Amino acid sequence: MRGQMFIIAAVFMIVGIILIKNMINFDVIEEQKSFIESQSAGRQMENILNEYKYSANIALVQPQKNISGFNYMSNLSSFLRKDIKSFSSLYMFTYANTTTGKISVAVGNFLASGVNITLNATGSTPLGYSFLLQDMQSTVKEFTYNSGISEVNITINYTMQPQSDLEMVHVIIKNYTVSYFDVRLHDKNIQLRAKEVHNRTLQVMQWTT
Amino acid sequence: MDVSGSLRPVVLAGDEPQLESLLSKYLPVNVGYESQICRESCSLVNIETNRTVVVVDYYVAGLRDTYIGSKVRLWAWQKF
Repeated sequence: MRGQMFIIAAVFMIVGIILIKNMINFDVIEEQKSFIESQSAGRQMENILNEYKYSANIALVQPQKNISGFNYMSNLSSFLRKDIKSFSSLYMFTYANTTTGKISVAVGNFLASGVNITLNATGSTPLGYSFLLQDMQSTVKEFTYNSGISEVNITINYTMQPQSDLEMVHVIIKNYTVSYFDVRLHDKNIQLRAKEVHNRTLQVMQWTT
Repeated sequence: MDVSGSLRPVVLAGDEPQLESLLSKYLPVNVGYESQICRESCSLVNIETNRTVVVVDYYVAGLRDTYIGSKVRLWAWQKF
């Protein structure tokens, strides 16, 4: 008799567990979790892009704009790479110096793999560079632009197997910087990627008394 | 806080008490929190250990002409 009671109780418990399991919609919970995670990653991406742009703006008000741009972008990228497991990026910071007649192009690879890069510039010497940048490496290349021109197109072509990316930025010959960022947040659940071009002109204000 | 312009000066100064004072205006009273301004890894101090803790990071590259390269980390948990 006691054994039968145990069996009946066990049947009730199993039926109860099945009913509770059906009442909880695990798919909805999982969907909500994914939604919150993607929102959070989206905000993080927005924050990172803003700070890259902020770094470019800070560089433009320094005495040595090209060196500052190179340092700030590299430091920020290294910091983010160490801090966020899912983060990787590639940046390019260009500055046209009207005093020296040169355009400096800083490129940093933080894509977690070596990248083959080709840089080309119109109306400049040399016309291009091709080089390999290892992960966490940055470099600066210089172009001397031809006299009399007001704008140079710089093309960056970078290949990280199996994908190749080609981007072009317009550099105006004045106190001007243009940057390109390719930022990725990739983990097992979310894959986000944003590419952005940011430009800024330094306007010197003259005060009269 | 960043939109209102109050965050970056506090981060540049490394003023954590001021940061927490500003944060208190945005957080409900039943939420406990701890914040840190970190240039490397943040340390776990004064964090509630027997509660579910939410962590939010916000990166700050600089302020006006000064590069900072820091982040603000906020830990938050429900008090009751």
